[in-house]
This record gives sequence, C-alpha cells and structure tokens, in this order.
Amino acid sequence: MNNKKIDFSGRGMKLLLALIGLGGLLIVVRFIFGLGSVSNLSDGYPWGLWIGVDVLTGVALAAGGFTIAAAVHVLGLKKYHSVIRPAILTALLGYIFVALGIIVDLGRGWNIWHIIVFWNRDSVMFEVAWCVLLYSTVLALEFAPVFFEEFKLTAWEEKWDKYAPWISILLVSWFVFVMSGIPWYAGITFIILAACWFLFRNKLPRGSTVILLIMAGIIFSVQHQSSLGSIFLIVPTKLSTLWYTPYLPVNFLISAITVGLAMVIFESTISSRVFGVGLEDDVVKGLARVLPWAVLATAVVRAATLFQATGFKLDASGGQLASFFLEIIVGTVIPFIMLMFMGAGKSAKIIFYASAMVVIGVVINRINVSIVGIKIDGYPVYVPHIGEILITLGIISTGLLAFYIVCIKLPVFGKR
Amino acid sequence: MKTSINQKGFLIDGTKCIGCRGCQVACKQWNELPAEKTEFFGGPGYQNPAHLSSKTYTLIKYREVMKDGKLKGWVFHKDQCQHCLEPACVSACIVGALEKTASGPVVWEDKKCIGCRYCMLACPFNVPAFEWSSINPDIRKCTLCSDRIENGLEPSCAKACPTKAIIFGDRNSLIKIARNRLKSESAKYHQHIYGEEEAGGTCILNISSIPLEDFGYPKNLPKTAMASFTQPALRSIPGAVIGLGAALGLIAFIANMVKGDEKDSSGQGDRS
Ligand code: SF4
Ligand code: SF4
Ligand code: SF4
Repeated sequence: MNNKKIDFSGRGMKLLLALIGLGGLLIVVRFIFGLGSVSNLSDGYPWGLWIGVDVLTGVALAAGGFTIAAAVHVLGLKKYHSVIRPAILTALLGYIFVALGIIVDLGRGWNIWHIIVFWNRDSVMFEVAWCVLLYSTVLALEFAPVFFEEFKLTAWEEKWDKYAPWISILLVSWFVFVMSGIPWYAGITFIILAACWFLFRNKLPRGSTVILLIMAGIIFSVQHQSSLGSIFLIVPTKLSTLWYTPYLPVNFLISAITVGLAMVIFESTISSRVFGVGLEDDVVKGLARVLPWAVLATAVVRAATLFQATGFKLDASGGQLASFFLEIIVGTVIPFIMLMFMGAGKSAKIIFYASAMVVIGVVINRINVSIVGIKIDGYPVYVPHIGEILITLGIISTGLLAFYIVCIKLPVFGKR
Repeated sequence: MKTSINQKGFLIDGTKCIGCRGCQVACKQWNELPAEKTEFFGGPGYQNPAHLSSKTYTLIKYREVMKDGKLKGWVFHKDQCQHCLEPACVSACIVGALEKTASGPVVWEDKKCIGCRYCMLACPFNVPAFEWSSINPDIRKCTLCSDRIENGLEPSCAKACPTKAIIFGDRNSLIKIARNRLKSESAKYHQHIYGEEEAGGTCILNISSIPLEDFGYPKNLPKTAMASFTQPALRSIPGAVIGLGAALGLIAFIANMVKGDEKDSSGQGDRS
C-alpha cells in the first residue's frame, strides 16, 4: 500500500466535492421529475450538453490512451514508456465520464443491457455502444497489472498473462460478428489476430501480452472515435455544411488522435505540479514536436472535406460562423503558431498552453457538431439549462477526483 | 430501394383542408392522448400547439399567404409522421425498438427503448417526440393507427376529416390521384407531391397550394433513404477491423523485433 494520504481539506478539493454533491443532487431531481426538469432539451433539440460535452468530448479526450499506447507499443518507442499508464488511466476514466453522462442522458438507462440482446446493425448508435462496452473491457485488462502489482496478486498476474490475449482476440472477433452478422468475417479476424499472437509469443521478448491487448484497444478506439462522427451522417439536412461531410468519421478520428497527444502533455504537466511526478522533459518535448504536425494534418483534412462539401461557400448563420472560426483559431491557428515559431523547443509553458488550446479546440468542435451546427426550424434555439451545466461539472469533477485518488493509491507514474 | 406495392398511406391535400382540426381531436381520442397546455405564439404558424409532441401526434399547421404585402389568405397542412418507406428512425434505433411494418405504418415497441433519442435526431421531419417529464419516458409518434388498420378500419384522423382532405389508401393509387389533381387543377396546386421521393419516399403524400417547405418541412431532402448516408460507414467496419488488425500486427512485429534486441524488455513491457 502506498502511504500517501488523500487530502480532502484543500480548497480545490472542497470545490470538487461541492460540485460533485450539487451534480449528484440534480441527478436525483432528474430521476424523480424527468429530463425536462433539469434540461432545456426539447423534441426539436433532443441532444444537448451531455452528449456534446460529456460523451463526445469525453471520448475524444480519452483518445490519449490509444494514441500513446499505439506509438509506444506498436512502434516500440521505449522512450515514451512512462506515459502509458497515465494515458491508459485517462482513457479508462474518460469512459467513466462517458458512462456517467450516458446514464444521466438516457431516458431509460436501466434498459442499457438491451443492446446486448436486441441488435440493430443498421444503427450507428449500436456500433458506438458496442465500442464503449468492448473498449472499456480491453482498457480494464490493460490496466489490471497495476492492481496486481499493487496488491501482490502474482497468481492473478499469471492468469492474466495467459488469458488476456485470448480474451482480446475473442472480443475483436465478436465485434466483427456483431457488426457484420457474417461468421466467416469473424473467423478471418480471429485467425489473423491469433496468428499475430503466436508470432509475438514465440518471437518477441516478454511484452507480447501487452502488445496484443494494445492492438485490440487501438482497433476498438479507431472504430469508436470514427463512429461518433458517423452518428451525424444521418442528419445532412440538419447539420450545417460547416461541419457536415461524408467524411465526418475521418475528421473525428484524426482530431481525436491529435487531442490525445495534446491531452497527455496537458495532463502530465498538471500531474507533475499536483503530484510532483510527471514525465521527463525530453518526453514532453518529443511529444510537442509531433503535436503541431498532428494539428496541421487535422486542419488539412478538415479543409479538404469542407471544400469537397461546400466549395468554401460558407452558408450558415452568424452564430455558427463565429463558432466555426473560434474553433479554427483557438484549436488550430494559434497552437500551431505557438508550437512552431514561439520557441516551444525550450519553453514548457508555451507547450502547456498550446496543448491546452488544442484540447479546447476539439471541445469546441464537438460542441459545434452536436449543438451549434444543428438548427431545427420552428423550435427555439437550444441553450443549455443551468441544471445541465451543473450536472456536467459534477461528472467532470467525479472523474478528476477518481483520477486523483487512483494516482495517489496506485503506481500510475511508475514505482515511487 | 424496396417499394412495396401494398403499403398503405395518406394523401393529404392541403387545398381541401379548412383548418377545423377535427383530425387533431380524433387522433387524441383514439390514442387517448391528454390535452396540452399551450401558449399563443406569434410568427409563422400560429397553430396550436406549436409542434408535435408526445401528447400530439398530429396537428394542423397554419400559414398566411401574402401577396404584395397584403394578407391573401390562409393555408393549412396536416403535420404528422410521414411513415417513410425506409425510415431514418428505424435505421437509427439502437435496439430496433422502431419497426417498419409491411403494410406501411412505422410503429415502436416501448419495452425495448432505452431512451437515447437518436431516432429523434435522425428523423428528417422531427417527428418522434419524447416524454420529457416522465420517470420512465417513452418515444411517441403517430402510428398511422396501425391498430385500426389491422382491424380493417381506416385511421381515426382520416375518418374524421369532413372535407376528405386526408384520404387513406394504397400508396400507389394515392400517387395516381395526386397526379391527376395536380394536372387537372394545375393553377390550384404547387406542382409537387411532397413524399413521393423525399427521403427515399414516404407513405404520406402531401400536396398543397404552396410548397410544403413553406410550412417548415425540410428543404433539399435527398431522394435516397437517410440510412444510405450511414450505411457506407457501417458496412466498412469488418474490412477496417481486419485490415487494421493485420497492419498493426505486422508493424508491431517488425518494430519490436528490431528494437527487441535492446536490453529494455523488462516485465510486461511497460514496467519502467
Ligand atoms: S417521418 Fe420520421 S418518425 Fe416518421 S417514419 Fe419517417 S423517420 Fe420515422
Ligand atoms: S430513443 Fe428509443 S426508440 Fe429512439 S432510438 Fe433510442 S432506443 Fe430507439
Ligand atoms: S393516423 Fe392515427 S395516430 Fe396518426 S395522426 Fe391519424 S389518428 Fe393520429
């Protein structure tokens, strides 16, 4: 056990606890009096802040998990090993946000298990749901060794080493079956992954279990990030062409990878302030060298798809245009300039602020796609209710608190 | 695109509607829907209530027709679920709670619904409504009175209409009637059957003296089913997963083989 105590008396902590309490209270109200009592959602605007922020943004931010895991394990970049656990943990917690958000947002959350028995593979939402379910399982498996290490569960660790790869192979194959309904597609998936596993186990040093788990994680994550974009493919007449394109899933995926990188920098900087443990300087600087190119790639793909859809004839309301330019300037232009030309090579501060802006830019993008960009004739424009805002703050605070506790209690930043 | 010949539907002819809202009342009676507290609102419409809801499956929309800055008259049109041939809502529902029946009506099964409201977002006509103040909220919308159709009755609203502005029948014969009307009284009608091709076609066919878009119906709807916009992404999943799996496996193998020689192959790989 770690002997570090959790300090509940700090001012920040008190604020977190207050927000969690308030959010919790409002959630109780929501479950007694219905969604209408704490939200401005309407028949015209059925989705609002909870989907836009808690779910879409939560998932995007959690992308840090897969970007880093991918880079480190698949490409074998040993230098970046130290960021894996914090990144995976953020991903896991990100999905906890998402799960809480969904439970609040769903009209009948207690029926969520229906996705396991009632299948509609024509529905993008169905894909999203399975991605959440399977990816969280893989993430939990990825994080399990930390618990085993902490609680000295050597027997479990051996079992994990033996079964985790097979579980992840089965999960991916199962996913293919669920989505296609064609058994031999699942068969091919199984054979390919099993072949990888044999190859890894016999030819690679001991990291093979993790590599396979990570592969499964990347597959689910890629599907999940892009499927969130696919959700909006069905509203070509509702979503402004500033955001609607048949390539929405591609845009969502690329921006998720970018924000993943930014998030790891952002987080590590904060964690080294709060816990005194963070990433080594050259790791952060390495990430910061890649980040502007990721930002640029996101912007180029976005511009190309926007041109393909509109020929740059931007026909939208004033508010939408303003929000569009805000997204581009905050999320792309400024951080790119900061990282490329403002001595990001030396200044940790510039790196920190630039990555924070990338994160904010993606948050604005997700809000734009799901809220600002959508306009429904005949309904008053949706503006979030104070209840929605407070519940969202409560959920985010819960995640932060959980992150804090886990960081203190478990060896997330390596052995102390 | 499947176009079943036997699908039932309505022909709603706005020029015959006198705005009595008998259909609105008949619908409430048959479906046992409570009254709604409404507010008068200015702006386009003036109808009451302002839009469809979980308590109002259909309503008559009102519009003023202006000519040279003067009020020339009123036009009315009946708003309701269009019972699409390939409904966006059905494709979108995560658990398949919404269902397109062979005879035309799009119905739903309360028990399956998880309340995600994706059907509401997906429907291009903003039809499915939600019970915002219920603890156990349902999705609600017009069922084309499928319970009546099954028993050989015509839908309640069509039956109630005193001017035959709503006629119930086989979609194909309704299209013929509509075409005849547009042709024989061409001055009276805006020359378009809204629903013949919109969103892949709907069981409800609408004709009126003004474009339906002027009543707030969606503009520029594609002629293909809305689901055709999500299908490519969904169908690409197996290929994407298999391809990605193979590619990742290969890259991981090569990269780790080369670097595997380095001393750092500690623990489960990430124990540093
Ligand atoms: S109009 Fe909307 S609710 Fe009705 S069938 Fe079509 S998509 Fe579904
Ligand atoms: S709200 Fe209910 S009926 Fe609508 S898509 Fe979700 S589960 Fe299906
Ligand atoms: S068909 Fe039935 S449910 Fe639909 S509007 Fe008419 S009366 Fe109401």
